Amino acid sequence: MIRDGRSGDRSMTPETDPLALSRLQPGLSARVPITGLQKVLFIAGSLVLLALAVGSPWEVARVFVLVSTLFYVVFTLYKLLLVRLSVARDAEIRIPDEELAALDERDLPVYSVLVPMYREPETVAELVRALSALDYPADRKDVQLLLEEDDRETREAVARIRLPEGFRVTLIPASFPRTKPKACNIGLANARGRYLVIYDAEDRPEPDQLKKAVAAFGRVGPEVICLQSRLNFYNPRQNLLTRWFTAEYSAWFDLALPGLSAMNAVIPLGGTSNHFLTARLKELMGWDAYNVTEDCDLGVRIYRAGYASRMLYTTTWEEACSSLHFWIRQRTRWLKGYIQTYLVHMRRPFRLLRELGVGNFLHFQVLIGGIVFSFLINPLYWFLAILWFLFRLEVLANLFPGPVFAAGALCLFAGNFVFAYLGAIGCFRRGYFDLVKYAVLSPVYWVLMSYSGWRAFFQFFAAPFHWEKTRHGLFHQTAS
Amino acid sequence: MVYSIRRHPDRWRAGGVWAGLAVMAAVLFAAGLYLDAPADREAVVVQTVCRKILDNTTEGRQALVSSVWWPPLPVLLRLPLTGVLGADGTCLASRIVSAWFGAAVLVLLAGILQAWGLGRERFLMVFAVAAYPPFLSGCLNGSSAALTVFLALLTLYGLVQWLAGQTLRHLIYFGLGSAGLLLADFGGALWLLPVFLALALERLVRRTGRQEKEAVLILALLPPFYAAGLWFLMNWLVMGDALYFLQSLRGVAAGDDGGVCWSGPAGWCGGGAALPAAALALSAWKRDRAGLTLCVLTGGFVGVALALAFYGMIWDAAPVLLLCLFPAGILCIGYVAGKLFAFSRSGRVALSVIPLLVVLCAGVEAHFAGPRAGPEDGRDRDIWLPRIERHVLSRSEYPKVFVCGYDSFLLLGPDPGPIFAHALDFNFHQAKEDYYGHDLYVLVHAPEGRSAMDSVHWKYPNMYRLGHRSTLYDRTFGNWRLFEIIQAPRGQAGRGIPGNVLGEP
Repeated sequence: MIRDGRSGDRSMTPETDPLALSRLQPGLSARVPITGLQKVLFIAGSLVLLALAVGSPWEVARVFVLVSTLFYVVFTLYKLLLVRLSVARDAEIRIPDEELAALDERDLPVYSVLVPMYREPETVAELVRALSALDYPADRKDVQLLLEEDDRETREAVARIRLPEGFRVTLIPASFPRTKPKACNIGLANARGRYLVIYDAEDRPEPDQLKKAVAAFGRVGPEVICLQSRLNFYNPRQNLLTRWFTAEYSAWFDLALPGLSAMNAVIPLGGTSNHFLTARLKELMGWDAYNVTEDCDLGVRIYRAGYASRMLYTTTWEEACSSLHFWIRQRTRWLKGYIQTYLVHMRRPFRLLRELGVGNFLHFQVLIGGIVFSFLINPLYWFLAILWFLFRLEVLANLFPGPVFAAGALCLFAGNFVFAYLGAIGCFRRGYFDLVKYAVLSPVYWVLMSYSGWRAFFQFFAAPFHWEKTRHGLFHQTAS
Repeated sequence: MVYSIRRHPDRWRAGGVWAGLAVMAAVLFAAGLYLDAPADREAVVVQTVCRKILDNTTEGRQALVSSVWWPPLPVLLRLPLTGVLGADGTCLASRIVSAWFGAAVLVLLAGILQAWGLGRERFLMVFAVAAYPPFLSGCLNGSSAALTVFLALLTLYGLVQWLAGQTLRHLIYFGLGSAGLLLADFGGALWLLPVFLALALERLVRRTGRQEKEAVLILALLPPFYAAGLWFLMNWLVMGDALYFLQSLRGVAAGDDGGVCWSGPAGWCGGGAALPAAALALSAWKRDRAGLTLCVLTGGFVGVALALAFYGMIWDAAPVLLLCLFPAGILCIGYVAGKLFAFSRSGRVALSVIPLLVVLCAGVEAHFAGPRAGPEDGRDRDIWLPRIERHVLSRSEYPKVFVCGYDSFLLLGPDPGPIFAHALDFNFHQAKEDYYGHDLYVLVHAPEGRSAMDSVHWKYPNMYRLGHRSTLYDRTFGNWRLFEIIQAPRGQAGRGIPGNVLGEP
C-alpha cells in the first residue's frame, strides 16, 4: 500500500503537519537558525572582544586560555564520571532472555517502524530482510518505508520486491525542507503503533529489540517516553577510519550514554533505534524538520517537557562510513546540528534552566555546546603545543600563568590520554579486542573531527539547512 | 523490578560512601591539627615545590620532575589546594590530601572486604588499619604515605579481581592504580615489577586469543607506561635530558640512617608479614591462583624493602612499603575468610581480631621503645639559616648562596630572598655566568637518606666531604657545608653593581 504524506495542507492538524513544531512553537525550531537577538549579541560580543583584543591582547588571550583550560579540565572529569557511572547497575535497562520468552505474543501491541530512505536503492533488499527478521508478530508490525516522491531509483527498487506483511510505503512530497525529520514526521502522523522506532536504511537491529523495548517500557515509570538502543557497526575492520569510528561509537554508546542514563541526564539521542511512546512523541510534535540533528534536539526537548529517556541494552548494527569524504560530510552535519540545537535551546536560557533544572542545564552545556567548542579550539592548542615543543617560545609562557600552566599540562598529558583510553575501553567492552590498539591511536582521528567542526561552523552560517547525505552501501559494494 | 528515574539506590549508596569518606577525612585532618602532629619533612618540601610551580618558576618545574625520590603525583595532588590555602609552615594542603587519602584507604578496604563477602566484622579490620600507628601518623602529618597505600591496594585489588573474574572494571583499576603508584613512590614503582610479571604470566597461561591477550596488556600496561613516558618527556623538556630523573638512582652512599625503619616497627612488621604468610598457605591448600598471587605480591613489599636495604636505600622508601604490608595483609586475610573458605560469622570475627592484636603489639612496642627522635630538618630553618646569612654577609657585600637539592626547599621555603637561591641542578659555570659580580657560595647538605640522591652529589661526587676544584671550604652548619666558589680575578669595576644586590641577574 502506498500512501501520500502531503504536507503544507491548510486542513492539517498539529498531529499531521510535518512542520507543526516550527509553526506552533517556532521558539523550539531551528527554522530560524539564529534569532535577531542572538545575532545582535554575537556581533556585539565579537566587537567588544575585538576592541579588548586590540587594547590589551595578552589579557584577552590569557582569559581565553583560562576559560578553555577550565573547560578541558571539567570535560575530562565529566567523561571519567560518565564512564564510572556506565557500569552502575541501572545504567541500562537489561531484559533477561527468560523475561522475553515469557512475553505473550497475543498481548504485544502494534509497533511502528519508520525507515526514512533517500537514494539508497542498494540497501532495500537487505533492509527488508533485516526488518522481517525482527522477532515480532507480523500482524503487529507497522513498517513504513518513507520514500521521497522524486527518488525514482529507490522507489523502483522497492517496487521490484514483494514487501512482507506489515510493510508499507509512505511517499514524502518534494517540498522544503528536504530533511529526514520532515519525512519522519509524516511517518509519525501515519503511525498506527503504540510504540514507534526509527531505523536507518542500512540498520540491522538485533531481532529481539522490539520485544525488549516493549518489556522495558513496561518496567519504567510513565515519565520515560524514549529508549535509546546502543549503536555499533558491522564493518568495523573495513579500514582505519572505520576502526576509529567504531572505537568512538563504542565509547559513546557503551560508556558515555549509559553513564548519562544512570544520572538521569539529558541524552542526545542517536539518529536511529530510538524507541518512543507514539502518543507522547506526537504530543511533542515529533522532530524539528529544520534541525539537521533532529535526534539530539528531540533528546533535549523530551527533558524540557518533563519526560525522560533511558538506555536499552540491545544493539543496532549500522554501516560505518568508510569513505573519508563522506565521513567528513556526515560529521559536519552532526556538528552543525549540535550548533543549531545549542542555539535553539539557548534562545531563552533562563527558561531552559527552569525546565531542565540545574543539573541537566549543565549537562546540556557540556554535552551539546561543549563538544562543539572542544572541536573548535583543539587545533589552537595543538598548534601552541607544537610551537612550544619545537621552538620553546618563551612568549607562550605569558599565556599560561602558573596555575593555568599546571591545569593546561594536566589536560594535555592526562586529558588526551583519558579520551584515547576511553576509546580502548569501549572497544574492549564490545569485544573488539583487535581494535584496542587502534583506539589508542585515535588522537589522529581527532584532527578529522576538528576539521569537520570548523567546516560545520562555517556551514552553519552559509547553509544551515543543507543536509549532507551520508552514502551507505559502500561496505557491501566493497564486499561484493 | 521497576526502574525509576527519580530514585537511584546506587546513587544514594554512592552518596553515603562519599559522605563517609568526607567525614573520615575531616576527622583525620582535625585530629592532626588537634594533636599538633609535626608536619612531615616531605610535606614541607612538596608544598614549597607547589608554591614554586604556581609562581611559574624554573625551580618549580625542575623540582616537579627531576628526581624519582620526589615523584610528581604528590606535588600535583597538592597543587590546587596550595593555590587556595597557600604554602605556610602548617602545610594545610598536604594535611588535607593525606587525610583524604587516609580516609580513602579505609573506605576502599571496607568496600573490598564487603565485595569479598565479609559482613560487619570488616569494620574491625578497617579499624585495625586506622589504629595502626605508622598509618595513622602518615595520615596526620601530611606525607604521601596514605596515597601510596591507597594506590598499592587499588592495584592489588584490581589485579586479584581481574585474575578471579576477568572483569574489565578491575583491569582498569589495575592500570590506573599502577600508573599512579609509578608517579607517587619509587619503592612502590619497584614493587610493580613483580606485579606486571604476574599479569604477564597470567596472560601467558590463560587460554585466550592473541588479540585478547594483546588488548588486556594494552589496557593494563598502557597507563603506567604512558605515565613513565610522560616523565621522560618532561625531563627532556625541563632538564634537557630524558633520563635525568633516573640519574639519582646511581649508587650513592646512603649514610647511616638505614636502621631507622627497622628499629621501631619491627614488631608490627613481623605481625604484618604473618598475615599474608598464613593466607598464602591457605590459598595454596585451596589451589586458588588469585589468592596465591595476592599473598605473594603482598610479601613482595618486604622483598622490595629488603632489596632496597641491600643497596643502601632503605632509609626512605622502605617504611612506606612496610606500611603497605599491613593493610595488604588484611586484604589477604579478608580474601581467605570471605572468598576462599566462606567462614562462619564467628570465624570471621575471630580472624578480624588478629590484626587488632598486631596493632596492639605495635602500640606496646612503641610505648616501651619510647618516642623516636623527631626530624632535625625543622630546626635548620630556624637555627642555621640566620647563622649562614650572618656569616656570608660578614664575608661579602654581595653574596649569593646556592642551596643545593630538595633540602633547599626545606631550608629556604618558597621565597629564598635576595641572598639565597634554590639550586636543584647546580652548575658552576652557569652560576658564575648568571651572577657575575657576586661573591658566590654553594651550600650542600650531607649525603644522607634522600638528600644523598640530589644531583649535586652524583654530579660532583665527594663534594660534601672534599669539596670541588672550583670551591674553597668555608664552614659547616649542622648538616650543611658552605663552600666559596672560586672565580677568576676581576677588576674593581666589575665587583658588583650597587643596587643590584637585591636583584636577579
